Amino acid sequence: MSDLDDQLTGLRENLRDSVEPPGLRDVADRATRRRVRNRMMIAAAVAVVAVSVAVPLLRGPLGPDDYVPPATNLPKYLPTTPFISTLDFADARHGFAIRQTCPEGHTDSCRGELLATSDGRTWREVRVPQMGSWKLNVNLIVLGPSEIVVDHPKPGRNGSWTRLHSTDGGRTWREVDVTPSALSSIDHIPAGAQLIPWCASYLGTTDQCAEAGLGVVVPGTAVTARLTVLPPLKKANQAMRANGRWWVAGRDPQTDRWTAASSTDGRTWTAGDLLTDDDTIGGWAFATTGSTSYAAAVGLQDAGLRGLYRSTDGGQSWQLIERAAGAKPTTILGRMVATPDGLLITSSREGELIDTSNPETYRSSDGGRTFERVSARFPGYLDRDTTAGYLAFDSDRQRSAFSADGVKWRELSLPK
Amino acid sequence: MVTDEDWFAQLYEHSFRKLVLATYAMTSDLGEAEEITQEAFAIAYGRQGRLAAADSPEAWVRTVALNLARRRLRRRTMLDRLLRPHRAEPQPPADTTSEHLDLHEAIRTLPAEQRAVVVLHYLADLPVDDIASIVDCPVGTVKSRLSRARAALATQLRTEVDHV
Repeated sequence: MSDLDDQLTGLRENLRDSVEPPGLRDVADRATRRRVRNRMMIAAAVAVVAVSVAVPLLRGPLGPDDYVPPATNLPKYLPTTPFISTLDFADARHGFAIRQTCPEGHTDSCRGELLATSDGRTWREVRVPQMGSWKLNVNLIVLGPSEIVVDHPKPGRNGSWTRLHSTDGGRTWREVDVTPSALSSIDHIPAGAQLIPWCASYLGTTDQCAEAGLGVVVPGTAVTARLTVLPPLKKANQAMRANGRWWVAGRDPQTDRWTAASSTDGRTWTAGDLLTDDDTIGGWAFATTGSTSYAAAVGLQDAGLRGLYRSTDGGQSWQLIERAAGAKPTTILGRMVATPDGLLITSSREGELIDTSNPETYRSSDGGRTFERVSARFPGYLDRDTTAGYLAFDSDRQRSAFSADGVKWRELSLPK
Repeated sequence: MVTDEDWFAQLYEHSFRKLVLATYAMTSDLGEAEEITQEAFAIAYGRQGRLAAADSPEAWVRTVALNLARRRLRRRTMLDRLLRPHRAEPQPPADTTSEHLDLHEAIRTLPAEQRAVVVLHYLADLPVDDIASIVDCPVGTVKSRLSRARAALATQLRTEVDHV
């Protein structure tokens, strides 16, 4: 046996000795708790579905060379009771949801179906062509109260996606060509449009990932067009809407420092100060109320709140808000909401792996310097800003709420 | 007579450490690997009937553990909504000897695909057939990665000695 083998054997023994298995009773107790917490699996499934669609370039822990398409990496075990995996609302009354049923608790057994509501309370099933072939990875884009886009992989054809578009609440559908040759360009963001990363598997553009960029899903036609005017930032491939304004964060090409830019319609962008060169930042959250905007730097691995910035001139200049070390919230889930009476942040439980269940809500009344934990006016975490307000979603308990202004929240009734 | 509880206890006693090290290949964090392995055994505990019917109960639990590891990493990334390839830095346990620290550090600097097969084969003690299934590549590829990894480790460790 070589020296290297001896050393590897030694390291193996060393590592094994350092692992102390908990008692079997603990495992049994954990199994019991797990049954009670079965809803947690719903949250996990929802998260992975969101990832598989919204983050098509997801890299696994082994790095880019070992990338496997997300669909093959969905969790093997899922709840056997139906659950809502995707949810979006055009306003407080008009919403759409994907309900998944996995009768055998396995991804292969899952079937998705589309549901719609026009009063925010009662739901109806919507018939969609080819719906019988839906698996977990079905993408939903709501463009208006009655306008919706559904993307799903073509059965048996790896890498090919079908886009279906309805402008009458799902009564009639037409197929939209999303092959790369059908993609166009556009010089602005029309009202009601949604922005998606240009590099997306369902656009067939993964060979253009190095170029980054944004795609505009255009209301009325549901075509995806590449936005031609973008701030000159590296990695600017995600956009966030906050109170009617689009925000993009990326790295300045010269300094490699993070910078934010914003626009109302995509024709012109206002770039701001250079913010930070922190390499542990993976994304940003933005919130705007009146002339005040907030930018939160979010840790890539731990969703840690790396820094909170405030601007009072539309994002041209930013001031880092001084916060005490370790001050809560230390993490940030989803988005922020800025209202005239404060800034709301949802945070994961302290000390836990990042978890979207049981989030805590914090509010600042002094411009982000200090926060206090408050009873949430909404369930779950702040999932997204819609064209007409804010949407909160508790995928764990299958609850949701909508707010037009971030102050008054109305709980939505989700389908069972 | 071996009861279900005894049978499960034997599996648990025999396999827990081994599965922690297999999961370690995915998480690069020993503490997280332990936590995930516990969760995998909790799942297995609730499905002992299915587990007993499996050809290899240990492989069944390992698959669950590795799926959990992959899922957690994806959930973590989902929250950021932005992409950037990132490789976590594996940390050795606090009582690792200096000789093993060098090796641990050398393993850490390997390319990701080589690091994974080294951890799975030499630390988790898995055969190359199983590793091929886990990393989803042919057996020959696993062997060649192991070969390249061994050469790189030998060179690096020798270099470190030479520098002393």
